[in-house]
Amino acid sequence: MPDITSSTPLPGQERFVASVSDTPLREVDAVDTSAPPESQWKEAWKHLRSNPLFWVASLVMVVLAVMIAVPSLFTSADPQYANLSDSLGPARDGHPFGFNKQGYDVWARTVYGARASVTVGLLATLIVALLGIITGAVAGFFGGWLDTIVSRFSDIVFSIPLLLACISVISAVNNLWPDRGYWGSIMVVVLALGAFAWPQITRQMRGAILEVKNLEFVDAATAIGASRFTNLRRHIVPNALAPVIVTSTISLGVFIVSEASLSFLGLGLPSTVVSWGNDISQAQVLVRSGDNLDVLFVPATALAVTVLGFILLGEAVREAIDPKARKS
Amino acid sequence: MNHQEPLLQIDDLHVGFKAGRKKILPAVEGVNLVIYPGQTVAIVGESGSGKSTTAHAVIDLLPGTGRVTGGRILFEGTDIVAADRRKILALRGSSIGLVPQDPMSNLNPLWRVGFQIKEALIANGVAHGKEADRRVVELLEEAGLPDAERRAHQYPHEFSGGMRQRALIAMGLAARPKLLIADEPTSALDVTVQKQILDHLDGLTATLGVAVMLITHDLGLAAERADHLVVMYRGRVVESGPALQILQDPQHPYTQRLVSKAPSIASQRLSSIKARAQVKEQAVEQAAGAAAEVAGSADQLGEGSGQILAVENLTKVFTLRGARPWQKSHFTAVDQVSFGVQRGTTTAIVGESGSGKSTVARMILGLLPITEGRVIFDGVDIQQLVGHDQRLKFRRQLQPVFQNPYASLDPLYSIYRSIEEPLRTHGVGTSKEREAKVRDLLDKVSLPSTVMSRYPAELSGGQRQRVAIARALALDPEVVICDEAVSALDVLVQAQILELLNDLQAELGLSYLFITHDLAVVRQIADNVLVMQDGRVVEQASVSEVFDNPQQEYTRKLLDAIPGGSIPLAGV
Amino acid sequence: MWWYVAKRLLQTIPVIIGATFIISLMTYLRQIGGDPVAGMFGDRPVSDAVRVQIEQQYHFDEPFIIQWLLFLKGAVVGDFGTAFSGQPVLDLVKRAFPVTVTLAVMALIFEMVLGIIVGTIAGLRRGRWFDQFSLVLSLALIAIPIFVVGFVLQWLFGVEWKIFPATVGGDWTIEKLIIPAIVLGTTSFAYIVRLTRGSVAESLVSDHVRTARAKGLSNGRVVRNHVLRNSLVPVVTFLGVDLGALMAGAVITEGIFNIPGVGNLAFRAIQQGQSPTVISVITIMVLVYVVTSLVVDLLYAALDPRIRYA
Repeated sequence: MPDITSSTPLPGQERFVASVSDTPLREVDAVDTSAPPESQWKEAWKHLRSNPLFWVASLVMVVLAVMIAVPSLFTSADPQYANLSDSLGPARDGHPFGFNKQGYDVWARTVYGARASVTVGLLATLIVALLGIITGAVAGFFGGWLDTIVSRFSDIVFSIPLLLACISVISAVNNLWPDRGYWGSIMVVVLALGAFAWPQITRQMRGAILEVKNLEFVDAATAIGASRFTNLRRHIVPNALAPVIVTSTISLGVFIVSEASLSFLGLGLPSTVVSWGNDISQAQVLVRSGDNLDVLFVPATALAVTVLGFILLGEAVREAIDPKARKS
Repeated sequence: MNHQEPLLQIDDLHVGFKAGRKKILPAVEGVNLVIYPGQTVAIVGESGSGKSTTAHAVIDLLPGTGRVTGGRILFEGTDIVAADRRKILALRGSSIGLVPQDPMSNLNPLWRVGFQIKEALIANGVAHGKEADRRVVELLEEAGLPDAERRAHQYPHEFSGGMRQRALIAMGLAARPKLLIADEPTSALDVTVQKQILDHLDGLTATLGVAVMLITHDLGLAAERADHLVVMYRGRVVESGPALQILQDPQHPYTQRLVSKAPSIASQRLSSIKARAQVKEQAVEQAAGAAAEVAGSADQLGEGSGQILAVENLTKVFTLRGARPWQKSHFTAVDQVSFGVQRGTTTAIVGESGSGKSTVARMILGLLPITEGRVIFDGVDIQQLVGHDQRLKFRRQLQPVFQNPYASLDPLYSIYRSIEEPLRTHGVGTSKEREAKVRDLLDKVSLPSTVMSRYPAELSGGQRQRVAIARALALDPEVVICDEAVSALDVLVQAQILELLNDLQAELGLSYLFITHDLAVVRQIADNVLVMQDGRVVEQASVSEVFDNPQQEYTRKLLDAIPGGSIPLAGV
Repeated sequence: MWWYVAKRLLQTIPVIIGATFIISLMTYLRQIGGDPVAGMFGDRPVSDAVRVQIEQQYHFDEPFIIQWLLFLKGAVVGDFGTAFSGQPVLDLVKRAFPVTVTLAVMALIFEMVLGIIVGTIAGLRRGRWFDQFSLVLSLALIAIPIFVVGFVLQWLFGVEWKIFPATVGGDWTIEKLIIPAIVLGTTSFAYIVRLTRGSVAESLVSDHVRTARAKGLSNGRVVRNHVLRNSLVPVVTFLGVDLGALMAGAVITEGIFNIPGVGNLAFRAIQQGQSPTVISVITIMVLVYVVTSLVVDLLYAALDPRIRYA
């Protein structure tokens, strides 16, 4: 160590003290009382608000919701009314996109078809989310053999391709219960999807729970005297939900597409039910070049826009919740 | 040192970060700095002072939105701020090397360590092929890594923290740069390892004639290792000059603050020892009163005895799964630990990582099952507690404060809910009464009551720790276990929290069990000390005995390793 | 490392057992609902004698568990039973397999190569037009059902522009499978683009990349050795899951382009209630998934040294 008394400092390294006015001291660790309080959710909302894609997705949601609740706002035609003489007819007054092969109004069927398609997506998502959250929480929280059983079971279900499993189940049910009616059909598709699509959510939930349960605030709650279950309910699960919410929103869109694919194979909703999947698949089968292509494109576009809406919403939510995903 | 041209000269440097489209937030303003060849210059500051930003600006490695907005950076006379891509690339590694801060995240986990050092050699044209391989082993040996030949073929996750840091040092010096930027090179390491590595680095840079820009938050460390000190605060240089001069005669109020509060230095001052003695006196008095109450009440667990906590032959053995499922290994984390804590006093448990100190705390808190031994709380064996009622009573009287302020509060709970939760769980009072109590607690920890409606994400680390302390006090406990409660905080904030803890102890007659790896802090807060190593108690005595007359080799090593501990202070 | 392999292998056994159980259960349900024997013969009447014979041959009279166990017993020795048409199921599958495998592999190559390239460029130039464009494109591709994409491409390339044949049929060649492969891989391509993009962008700002730059490495070397290498890991994880999805998606693609593959086989068998074929085909698909997932896991361990020693 240099002897401070003898050496003179080198140029540029002389003793320097900044003026206090230039470098005023702040109180150590003072609380900023000026800014309004903001919870994690409020902050996420702020990010969400400033994301244009969020607004696009929300617009789609709103239009969709109105279309499902009050379809008559969008069209005055009757989706169940068909006049064969109108088959594949062009657009005319009150029928903006013309008619399909059987003479149904294309636009009316698309508007009314929203109900079935979105319902399937929504219900399937709810079931999958519920199953996934519960099994994931049990596996992640309790660990041990319970975890092994749940994880093994989830692996098994996951290994069976979703589409094939749905095809099998629905085909079986077709035999057992041929005349299902509107709600029966929807429930069958929903349950088929729900029964086989939950493993993905289980894995996510389990991973999130494993992460959260070792955080110190959980220990603090235990030290206060909370029981394991109280901890699970009050602290662990709420903090583990974020990724599940994001994935569920996105998979809602994916389920709507799945319904369409099943209908294409003839195993989705029966043709008596007005749905986009049915319209699109019928259009593909029946339309030849030169025919009214709107028959295909109108329901297909409606489907694509809806699915896109949900996916964009999920992505926007993910960016808002997860600071790492932000673009800054 | 002959009079030479400066190696690095920073003139009036301004660095800012883009925020949004137009705004630029200033991070560094008007920094002047000179480093001569072969010199070690230390930049000292807390987090947010701009010290790391300045260092990264030198080699143009600011994070995405960072920009140099003014000033010059002269390396060997040439301004490199506006230098083109190729010039900067040429400089990096061969003229200016970097030893980054966090050894785990700074090594690519997918490549072997030797390969990553070899890259540095090849990119700077130092060596190729087999020659480079040989050089890599030499460099690792030079950096003090034992068994270098074998280690070079291993992956980063197979190295310990200290080994990784040595590998990073080898990487930084690989191309024999003239200037080495060491960004908090040892903050993540144990104190004894820290000393070893820094000593080694000192020797190495002296031999090679490499100048060092040492970035650190530890004033004592800076003064020990550097000739010239630059103190930064909120983006500006507030004081600079010869290291010892600054330490013995700080002029700027901020430097004065730092010097008076830095534990490694402050703890040597008689004044802090006196202050502690006063606190203890008051606390013991308060506690005696509380003890009498406890002895008489049926509501509280315990006999009201003088020894509020006694630990006898406490042992914890973990059963680990081996590589094969039928292979099991037993790891003894805590081995026959015994000690006692008197009412109103603080007992500190000091140890490096792996010493078992946190495991002891968790067992006492009932968060971890005890393998062997007893924990006796005020005469009651906690493993003999029967029934939900009794266990709840125990919980009320013994509360924790944990280390990581960013994980100790539930991010979805408002501050109010977090502090209220213990009251709710135990069914204390009506909701109005609880609110009053929360206000009172916030007041005790010097937080404004407006904080109640805020959420943890809006508070700083120190503020969150204060909330955690408030929560711990909600049930009027007798014992608070602080598990590295101040370790994650900046120096000045740390000092603030320690003061708070002392004040609360005097006021409420609390007894503390204080777990820490920082021996320097111990003198300011504890009366008795336990030194642990590898699960065992190495030395156990009062604080003054341990500091003035350490009996064991390991204790002496720990004391020696306190950075800045050897600096003679004026007017001690 | 070998222990890791052995452990993974052991894990696959309950998966196979469980999966076959579930599939058998579903096909069994189909049996109960309809009359499997009548289904075989279409509309023609079935005499009682023939009915009894068939029931015995296919064990329709046995309880479910027995049927399942008998199937397992046969599967272990490679005897997957006989289809209603009289051919051994294994033969049917053997004939249909090559085309589906080729299709799936082509789809995999397409989605991987193109997906990683696009995703990497997008990740490296985050925020700029290529990034935005690829983001929108990938979202659109996920949102449009595979059969619509199939229909559009089939029409464009097969009918309008007549570059590739619209349908494939029995005599298939790799050339004929190009468009179907692209259709099959479209959705996965979109996922890979997004995954790679996110992964690359994250790597770029990581600590170890900064250290790599500090060493004096050129930008190209940094991207190659430190960004790409680290970004591949999540993509490989995805691929393990993807092959299963491809096999299932093949059902639709083979339907649209009239490809005599396993997907087509499964679909028709399910529709016609040919239980032995259904169970066998789906079981084989599950086996394929399990094996590829194992291979992918091993690949993952090869890529990430931390896994090997865990």
